[in-house]
This record gives sequence, C-alpha cells and structure tokens, in this order.
Amino acid sequence: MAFSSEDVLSKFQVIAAELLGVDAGSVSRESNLVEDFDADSLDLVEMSLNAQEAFGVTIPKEALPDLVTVGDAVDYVFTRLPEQA
Amino acid sequence: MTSPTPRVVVTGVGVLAPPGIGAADFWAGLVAGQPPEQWLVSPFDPVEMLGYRAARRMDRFAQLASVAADEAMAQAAFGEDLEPSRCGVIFGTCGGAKTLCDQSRLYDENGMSAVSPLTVPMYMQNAASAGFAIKYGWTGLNETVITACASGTHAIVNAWKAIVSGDLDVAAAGGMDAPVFGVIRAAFMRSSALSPTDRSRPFAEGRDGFVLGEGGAVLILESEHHAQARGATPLAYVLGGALTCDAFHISAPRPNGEVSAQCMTTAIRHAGISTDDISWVNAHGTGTPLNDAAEITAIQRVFNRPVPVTSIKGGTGHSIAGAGAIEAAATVLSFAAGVIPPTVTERIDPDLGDLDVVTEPRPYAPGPVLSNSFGFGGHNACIVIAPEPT
Repeated sequence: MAFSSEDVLSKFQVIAAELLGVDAGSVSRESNLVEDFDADSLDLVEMSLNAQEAFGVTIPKEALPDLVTVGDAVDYVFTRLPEQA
Repeated sequence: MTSPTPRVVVTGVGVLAPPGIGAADFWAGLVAGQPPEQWLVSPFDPVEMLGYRAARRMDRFAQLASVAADEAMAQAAFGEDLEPSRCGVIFGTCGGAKTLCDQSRLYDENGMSAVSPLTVPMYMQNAASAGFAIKYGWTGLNETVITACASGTHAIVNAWKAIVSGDLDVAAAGGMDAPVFGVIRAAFMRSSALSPTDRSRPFAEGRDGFVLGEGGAVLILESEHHAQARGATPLAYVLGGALTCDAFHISAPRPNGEVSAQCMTTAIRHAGISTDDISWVNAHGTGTPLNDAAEITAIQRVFNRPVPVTSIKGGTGHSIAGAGAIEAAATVLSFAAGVIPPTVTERIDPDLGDLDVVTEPRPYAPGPVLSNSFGFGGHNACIVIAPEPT
C-alpha cells in the first residue's frame, strides 16, 4: 500500500491522540509534542514504535531529538517508506 | 517502658476496597455487615479519577494506590511549606502482575515488537511509591516492601520507624494490590488457599479458604510535632509496630502461633501499653483453616482474656498486600465512629476455643487496637493504633 504524506500525518495524529489523550484534530505538522502536549521521553519512544508498526519504518532513538515537530517526524517516515526508497 | 518519641500521628486516610470507594463509603459498606456484590473495587473509572494519560501508564494496583493517596493527601491538607526531603513514601504491594501476564502473552504470540515500552514502568512493584513521589515531589525515603499479605502492615511499621528514628517528618504509608484475574486466582485455587465456594468466612466452622479481593489504602503519618506545628488534627496515633518471621513454611503459618505472638507482644511493648489496654484485635482472619487456627492460637497466647476480635475480610475479601493497610484504615475510621466493624461470617468454629468474635457492629469507647497481618513466607506484621497518645 502506498502512503501519501497526508496519510502519514493522519496516522501520527491518531497515534498522538491515543497516547496523549488529545483531540487528533489539534495535532498539526507544526505541533511540538513536548512543548504543546507535554509529551515525555516514554511518549516519544512509544510513538516511534507505533509508527514503525504502522509504516515499517524504524525511527532510532538517536533520531528522536531532531524530530522537533510532528512535521519533522512525518517527513522522516515518509522519505523512508519503501515506495519512496 | 515509655513510648518512643517522637509520637506518630495519622492525619490522612484514603481507601478503596470492595465495600466502597473513599473512606466514607468504605466504612458504610463495612459496617453494613454484608459481603459485597463483587470482590472488586467497583465502579472504578481510573481515567475519570486520574486522567487519561496517568491512568493508561499504570497497572491497576498503581491506579488504586494513586486514588487512595490523593484522598489521604487531600485530608492531610499540607500547605506550601512542606519540606520535600523530610517526606517519604513506603508502600507494600506485589506489583503489576496483570500487566506482566498480558505482555508475556503478547510476546509469546507475536514477539518482541508486540511488547509495550510501558511494560516495566507498569509492572514494577515500586511504580506506585515512585509515582507518588513524582506527583507530590517528595524526595525523602521511598521504598516498596514485599512480604506478601503482610506487606501493607509492614509498610506502616516501616513508616512509623522512619518517623520515630527522625529520618522523616512525614510518610505516606500503605498497601495495595489488584490480584483478581485469571492466573493469580487459578494459582491460589490450585494451592488450596482459595475458598472453592467463594465465601469469605473468617473463624467460621465451615471456613474453606479465602476470597481474593482488591483494593488499597494510604495513611499519611507524621510526627506529632510536625502536625502540631501546622495545626493539623490527628485522626489517630500509631503507637508501635513489630515484624517477625515464622521461619517455618513457605505458605503455612507456624501452628503454635509462637512467633506471631512474639510479634504482637513486641508491638504492644513498643506502644508503651499492656495487653489489657488493647480494645480489640483487627485480625488477619483470612478464613483459611490454617491461618485462623494459628492466628487465634497466637492471640490466646498474648491475651489472658477473650479480647474482641474482628476480621473485615468477610466484607473486603483478601487483597493480599493491600489487606493490612485497608485494615489499618478501618481501625482509624472506627475511632470516629465509636464502632468495631463486624466480621461477616457464619457460625464460629468451636474448636478455636474461647473467642469473642465481633459479628455485629459493636459500639465501643475507642482505645488502642492491635492490627495483625500474616504473609506467605511466614511474615508477621503488627501495628498498634490508638485514638489518643499513651
């Protein structure tokens, strides 16, 4: 199945809503999960694992500090999708 | 012997168990003198009580702990000037076995990728005491004791010691467990500890085992001086405590009650009172043939009279590590009510000898109470709680 960048964003919105208990619609590409939603390191690890399960793309923990916004994470995953490689 | 100083007071109580959620409902359920409709804390909505994010990161035992702790802290009503390094947390629990079992099954079925990164923070036994410290910012002593069914009382004894020794001014002490699920229930049943008839009948002639329950209680203990300085009114005094081990069998108590009697007498001695001062005994009273016989034998060794005895497990079930703390909460609540809570049971076993089992709510002039717990492994834990200092 081919994912669009919007598909990846939508999935991240759902994941963030489930983990953080927020409205999926309140999560945008510009959202900073730590500053805007008080996410901590465990949240980010869980989010990366859920994204890996959804898209088959591993986000190593070393990459997490560079993924400041949801858009950063979406781009990281989208550019590494098998169909993009 | 004079009482140890400083004196230790109770300034907050939080409890939830099958008879009720919150101290008021719990007490009302307890003195109603009926077994609960189910041996669970119900209806319990952890998301509503703790918030979505906190609740989803906790095993049920920690959720119970957190709700009990919040109630106790609200009653203690500390101000902004609490010194966090002088405040500690001592809980007793067997931890998040349900989380571990669920995750183990997922691992077996689907491998590592199926295992939640929250597994360890949820199942680890110290999750509840650490969670309390994080929530309230208390940086003093923080420990979790695991002595099976004696854990809750053990935690309160340790908290009492920590305040008496001067290590702490304030301690949150309690016990909690959520063991009512498949494999734990099966394991206790297979070991013949559980009642096959699902009836909790402490001291009864036909008792055939305990009934698993769940719940927890947290007591806020502080030095009398600390409480007086902030104008807090003591609900009770923890006069003393003691811990011993039967060193006999991994699951059966020493039948002659010798070592548990030593625990009782040591606790009473630490309290600076005599056995004649004890108004009633809040017994472990699980309703297993062996426990009740050994415990009554120990009580009869210690007391030269048929002291009133109650086991609230007829109404609460047995919440393992939570039991002793729940019973301590019931003891504190009995002072304000002036009532000894009843033992919900059936015809008392005549083979237990000369007994005064309290089977109906009994008005009394509140006085010191000995609360006793046993645990698999031979653990004995006793505390003496009183409405007034000695």
